[in-house]
Amino acid sequence: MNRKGDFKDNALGLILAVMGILILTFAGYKIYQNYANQDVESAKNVLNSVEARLKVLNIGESAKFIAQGPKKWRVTGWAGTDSSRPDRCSLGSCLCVCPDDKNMASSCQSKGICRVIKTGRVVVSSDSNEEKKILFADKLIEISVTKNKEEVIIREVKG
Amino acid sequence: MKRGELTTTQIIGIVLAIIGFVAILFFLFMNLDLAGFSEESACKASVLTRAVAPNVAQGLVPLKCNTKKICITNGTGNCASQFRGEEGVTIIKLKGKMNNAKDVRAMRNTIERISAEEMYSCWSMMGEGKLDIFGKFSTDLGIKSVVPSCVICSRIAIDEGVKRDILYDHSAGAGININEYMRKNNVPGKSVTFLQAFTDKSVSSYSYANNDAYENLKELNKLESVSSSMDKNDKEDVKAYEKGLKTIQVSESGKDLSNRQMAVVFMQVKSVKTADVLKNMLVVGGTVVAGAFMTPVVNKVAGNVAKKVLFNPYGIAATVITGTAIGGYGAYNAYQGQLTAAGYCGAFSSSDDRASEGCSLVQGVNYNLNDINALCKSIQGRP
Repeated sequence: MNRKGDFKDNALGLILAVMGILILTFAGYKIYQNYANQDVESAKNVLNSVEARLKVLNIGESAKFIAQGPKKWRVTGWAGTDSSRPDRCSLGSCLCVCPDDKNMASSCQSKGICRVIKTGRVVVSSDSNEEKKILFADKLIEISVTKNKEEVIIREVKG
Repeated sequence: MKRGELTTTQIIGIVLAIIGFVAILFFLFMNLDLAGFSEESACKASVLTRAVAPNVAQGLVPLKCNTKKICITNGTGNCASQFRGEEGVTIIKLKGKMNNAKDVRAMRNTIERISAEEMYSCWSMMGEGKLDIFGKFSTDLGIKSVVPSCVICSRIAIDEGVKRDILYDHSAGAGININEYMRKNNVPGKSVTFLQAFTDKSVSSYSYANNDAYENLKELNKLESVSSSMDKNDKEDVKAYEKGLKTIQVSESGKDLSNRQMAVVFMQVKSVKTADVLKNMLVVGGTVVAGAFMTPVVNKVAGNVAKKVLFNPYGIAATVITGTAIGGYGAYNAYQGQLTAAGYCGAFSSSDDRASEGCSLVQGVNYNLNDINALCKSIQGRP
């Protein structure tokens, strides 16, 4: 090569190199996606289970299920009229699974997973915890979902 | 040729490279999404990946094992009381009429087959006890490796519409017998029976625990089940664990445990003297072949009183319930209470240079919060 900018002899090599880098980057991203954010996936599973039951329950009915959520995360909820709810619950009442924190609204806004629930109130309590918190640990817990006319009650049932 | 002009060869090469690139991207996009694989393949892959990962990386590899859900029904029900609202439930219909003995036998055979296949599938997916699944990282995450960690491989539910007589007919003294099914029938695609697949080709029958062994079981609960090399805190953890298992007996007395749902659970524990566990298993009356074992079948004692025995990976009977207190457990107990457990004690294949060993077990347990939480101090996977 004896001219500036004349790289036709290396064009193919350059294109292959760029393609190889792109493939490796994409593969790395897909592998990372598969293995990262497991706590978030686990939280989503819990919310999916609650939503699935709410879909099939009639007013006044309850259903229980055994669940495991991410360790040291909590189930919490806000009514649509509660001014302290996080911004991602601005559309109405919502149920969230978020890292346990003194300021749950902030925790849910930044790190948790929330779902809007079409109801007046969302009540979360626990038979197993003095502070009435549904807190996930290594063990399984049993959650009861009750659908009432103006509220949804999510309760950890004492085993 | 002008400056900058590409030759025909180069153009062809570039076009081929672009086509190849698109093909590889397509392959990556479709196949690195593990949801595209079967759930079993994804689970097995994650188990292997974790087992062979370096210690520092093990904690980063989650087990992508979703609990399988199976509903056995007579055709009209869909296990609403067990799986209401849940997705991904496999429905298996029992065919036949209750007043036809041949049909009843066929229905029982179906339940036995599904139970045996799920137990074997779980064992196989988890590496048959030879892979260190819960690894060194468990200590980093606050999970103690001296008490069992578990994966719930599947939940098998029997719909309310399936008559109890299918499970066990008291008047006829007959019912499902998963142990016998495993003894007589081959694993699909293999030339060995389930019993042989769990133990060894030479094994063709179970050991049965008799009344004397039952007395031994009671005595064994007093034995040291832990490695003498364990530190004091770990020994206390194991003792607390065994004490917790006894609560199963107390909490279930008098209850009608008719939730008709069994969980196939894989358990693993490390830091045990595997030779002691295997010795205990022989004393109890189990079958032991070169590290692999089957727990003994526990028969009813005089008076038609059923027993419920749960084994933990230490090899000692966790709890034995007798008496009319479990009368309500009834026919369902015949489905689950007599089911043997399969296990392996020995060295793990591990990425660690220092060999580690432990004991693993697969068994069917009542899908009940108390039972599972008492047996399993940590649950992995996606129950």
